[in-house]
Amino acid sequence: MYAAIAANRRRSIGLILAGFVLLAVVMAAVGLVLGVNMSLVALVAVPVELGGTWAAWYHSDRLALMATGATQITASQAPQLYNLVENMALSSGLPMPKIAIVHDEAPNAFATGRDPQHATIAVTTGLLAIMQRDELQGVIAHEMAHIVNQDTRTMALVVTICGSVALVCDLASRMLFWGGSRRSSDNNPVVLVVGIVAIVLAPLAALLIQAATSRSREALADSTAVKLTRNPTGLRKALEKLDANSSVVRQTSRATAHLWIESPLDRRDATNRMFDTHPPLSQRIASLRRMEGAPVEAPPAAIPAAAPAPVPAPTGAPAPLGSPGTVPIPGLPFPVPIPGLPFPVPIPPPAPATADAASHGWTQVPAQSGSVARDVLPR
Amino acid sequence: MVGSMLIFAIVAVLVAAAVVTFVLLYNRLIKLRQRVKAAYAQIDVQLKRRYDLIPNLVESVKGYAAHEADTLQAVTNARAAAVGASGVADVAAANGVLTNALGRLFAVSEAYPTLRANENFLQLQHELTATEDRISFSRQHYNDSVMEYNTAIETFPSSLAAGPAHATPEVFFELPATDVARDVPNVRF
Repeated sequence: MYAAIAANRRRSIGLILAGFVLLAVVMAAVGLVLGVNMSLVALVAVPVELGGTWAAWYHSDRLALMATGATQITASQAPQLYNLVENMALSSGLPMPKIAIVHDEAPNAFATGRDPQHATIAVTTGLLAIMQRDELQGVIAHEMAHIVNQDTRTMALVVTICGSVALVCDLASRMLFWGGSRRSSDNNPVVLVVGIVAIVLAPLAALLIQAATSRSREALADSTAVKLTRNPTGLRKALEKLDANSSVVRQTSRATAHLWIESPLDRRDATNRMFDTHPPLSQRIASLRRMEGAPVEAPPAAIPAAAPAPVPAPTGAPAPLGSPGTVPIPGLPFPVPIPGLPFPVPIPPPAPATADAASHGWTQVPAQSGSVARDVLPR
Repeated sequence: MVGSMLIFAIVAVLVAAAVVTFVLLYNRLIKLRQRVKAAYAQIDVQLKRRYDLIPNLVESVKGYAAHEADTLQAVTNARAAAVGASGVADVAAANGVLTNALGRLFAVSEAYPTLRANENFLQLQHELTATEDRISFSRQHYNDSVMEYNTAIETFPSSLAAGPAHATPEVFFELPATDVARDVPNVRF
């Protein structure tokens, strides 16, 4: 699992470097096509961008909370939720983040903030309504993992680089359109065509890099969440519930898509997965199942019940108290009702993997609505 | 003349690189040790909270379950031993015993319906459970930090800085798991 975290981090760094390379290529292409000294453009663009990024980064939490309509809550307003977040703050060794609730039927959650000292974890009322305690713990752990891995910072960087690529290309195509290219009319036509193609394709490539980085951060956050809870089952069951639930968060946009635990955008138009900000849920569930097969350490149990023998849970049916991999909480109702919120509503269990399939290490996962079923094979 | 200057420059660069590397390794070890200390302080806060809750719990049970004097005495003794313990290993072991004693107390409390209906008892039980949860998550972070620190001390090249930094391996916060499995009645609350 530590290896998975390291590999994912390397991939993220690679993607950021790819973004820089792309930016450089675009600058060169524009320079070739227009015959303009790009250092002049860069001189203006770079400080403006840096200023913009700094402002976005510094106020990222407030911006995200405003954009999603989240309201901050205190410990007394939702003691159980506070308790779950507190547990994750303790197991990550980070300061207690602020907690916010988004009044939305769709189950989802996100983390924001420029650093662990100024972090906020937001969950929707829909999430609180359908998740059991261990599942909610898994979701909170995933959000805490984003704070641990400082994903908000990484994503701000990536979004800025990709934004600059789009900006430069936009500028260049406008200059081309308005005849700014006259100065370079004596250039080699092949160079000109290649340059124009680069300018047209670069913003697309930038989007791809942005989406790929976001996807790898999501996968990493799942791994880190398991490290925080020592319990892949809770998060896996939570993701299965999200998979089964087709509602979509209303108060959101593409701008905040990368923040959420599950992609908040309508999944029916998932024609091209390369532009998705999140890996397919089925893939994330499959990798959590693999972790359940080989847990890193016994789950932390305050008062250990029967020795937990970690085996993959056969179905998505609600697990009994003290089931493998869960943290038995004596004296607490289960699932935990959140005051002021509706009680858990029954959710149709997601299509179970057959015991035979699980024992072979692969699982047939039902695809999201509208596409064909796929086999998810271990890499 | 030019050749000797070049050799001197190369040697100077190498020495500078070695010094910088050493400083980085040294600082990393110190940082990891500080994290272990902070993680232990985090556990300590939760343990203190636990010790503070137990006398109230014992008092509230006494009124209802006078027959369970032995169980209550075991909890009181275990608490006293845990409060008096020093050193990570001893504190961890004493708290393992205390967890067992508390588990037995909650198990026998099942037999007293009036006690189970007592608001104060339920509140204390709830708080103790939440505290034990926090202890186990803090312990997890502490053990993670200790593992990273101990690995850094023993692996090359950070092991080179271990001596000058007076870095010695720290002890894991381990609960005596076998004891728990044998002694605690298998009761689900």
